[in-house]
Amino acid sequence: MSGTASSVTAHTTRLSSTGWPGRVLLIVAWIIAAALAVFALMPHLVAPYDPIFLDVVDRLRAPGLSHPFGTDEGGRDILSRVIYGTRYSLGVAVAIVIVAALIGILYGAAAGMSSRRTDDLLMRIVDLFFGIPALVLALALAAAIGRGLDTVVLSLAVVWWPGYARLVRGEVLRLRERPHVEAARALGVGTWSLLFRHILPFVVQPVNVRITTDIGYALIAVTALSFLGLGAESPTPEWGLLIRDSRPYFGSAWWYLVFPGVMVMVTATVCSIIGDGLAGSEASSRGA
Amino acid sequence: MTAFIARRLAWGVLLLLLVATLTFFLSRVVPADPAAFLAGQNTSAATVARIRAEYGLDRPLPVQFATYLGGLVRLDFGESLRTHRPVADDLVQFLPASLELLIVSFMIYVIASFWLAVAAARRPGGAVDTAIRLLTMLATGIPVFWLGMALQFVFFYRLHWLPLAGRFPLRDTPPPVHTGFLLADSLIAGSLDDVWKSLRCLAMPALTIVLNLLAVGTRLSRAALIAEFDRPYVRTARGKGLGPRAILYRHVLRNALSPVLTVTTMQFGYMLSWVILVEVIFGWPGIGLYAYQSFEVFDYAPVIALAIVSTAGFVLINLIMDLIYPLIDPRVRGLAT
Repeated sequence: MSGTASSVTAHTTRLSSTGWPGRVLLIVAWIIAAALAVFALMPHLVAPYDPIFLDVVDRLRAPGLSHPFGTDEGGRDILSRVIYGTRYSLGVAVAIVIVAALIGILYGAAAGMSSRRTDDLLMRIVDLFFGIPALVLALALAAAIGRGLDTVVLSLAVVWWPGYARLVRGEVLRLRERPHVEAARALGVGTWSLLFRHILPFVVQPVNVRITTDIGYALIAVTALSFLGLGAESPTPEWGLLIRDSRPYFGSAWWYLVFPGVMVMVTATVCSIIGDGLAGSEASSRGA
Repeated sequence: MTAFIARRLAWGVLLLLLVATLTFFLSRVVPADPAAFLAGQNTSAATVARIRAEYGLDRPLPVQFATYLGGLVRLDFGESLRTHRPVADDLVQFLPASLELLIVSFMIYVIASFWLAVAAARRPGGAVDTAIRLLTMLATGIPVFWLGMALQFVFFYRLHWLPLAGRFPLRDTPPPVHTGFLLADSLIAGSLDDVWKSLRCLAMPALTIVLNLLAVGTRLSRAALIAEFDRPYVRTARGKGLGPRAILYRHVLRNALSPVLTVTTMQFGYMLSWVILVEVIFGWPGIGLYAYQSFEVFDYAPVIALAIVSTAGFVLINLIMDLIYPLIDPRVRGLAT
């Protein structure tokens, strides 16, 4: 859905243009992103408890000094579980977006470099993929190859790559006409090295912006699939799964619902703020 | 115009074919033993053998694919193992609930997002605009299922204002079925009490959908409106002394309608797929919940049927929009012929 939207969003005012509040927000976002990276890579250094250690005596404890985010129905420390969860939720989201971006770059570059006819055909196929119902496809896929985080990656990558294909193809078409590319072509540089040496390096920046923003959306999609029970399985501390597990208890244990959700929201918002900042600096480097 | 519609129809058919091929591939080619896959778990070898013969799974794949497509064309989605009924019948039974939820939510959404976008675009960068921008930006990060549960926590567990789940109070008898839409059926039965009960059940799921859609929709509609305000014709209108209201209603809105409509169509397509989440959380007996509950007990024909049906819905909405565009925007008429 994001493809058609991009022409409209081009006009949204960037946060970075709002002066110091925007800049402060951007700095805070980068600090949170750094913390999330630490959570994902070295959770054992930060988390106070073992995320899957059961302690039934302490079940469903409200947040307090020993358990700042409370405990779940098995007495597991929710703070530790959301910290360890970063690796699964965010990790899978990053994997999806990177897989989608790689497919999209190759496809989009191929379309952009080929003849008008082939390009037309290739982009028609992309249009088709925009219509696939993501969630239902994921259900069907999980039915066929079983549940698990790899199923989530596969099904979301299938619906995510067309956005990148469209973006990259547009950039390639634009860059093809640039003087430096024409000069290289006139000097007899072949299509392949034209693409890889003179065109794709300039595509990296817009793709980067898109990847950053998309990680947030992919994260929400990943947690949604886990919430439906298609992704991680208990007791993996994946955020969406934590929210799923909280369903029988959250009426009396609000912390069980709130903290995993807050992690998803904060991470998604951080991605969109950083993506917005990158888009701003990209626009200014282009002189736009 | 005819050529244009024919092209769009061809696109829709191709999309349906793509989804049908994908689902066929997923259900017949990927699993090691498709008969066991169709039979579900915990079935005897005899049942599996019976199913293999019954579904023609012992025949070559191209033949199977042809039969599969033939079935789809006749709206034959197979039989649900859970309900022991043809999936098509089940879909007909559960579809009105989904449609009722989607239609009510969409009507509220369209009005609310229009109102918010106009409020924001009236003074870009002003206090209202900044507030709306910040709120929508924060709201896009909220997962729809979490939002639904948060509403349940507030309005059911804490305030006891609204029912937790379901489409009608369990202990009461719903009005006799005429249309399948509870609100309409209640009205036909002439029972305002039933209308009220249905509305109370509808409130939270609809609010969840509306808030979720508003987050993305308002941002895009606002951008479309502001882009229109930058156009030279607005300066001309100002120059000849038109007031802001006249400019907004007589000039800008008409021009901004097409991009806003595009956004709305996209949103609807997106919701067709994600409404499952809302139905699961609120126990809303629509086709999403039906497919999900079947999926949970390894009954996969309804899942595949839902994939086809929601794609068909997406194609249909897009076709309707394609027909509406030329009506509201004369510029498209030239392009379409």
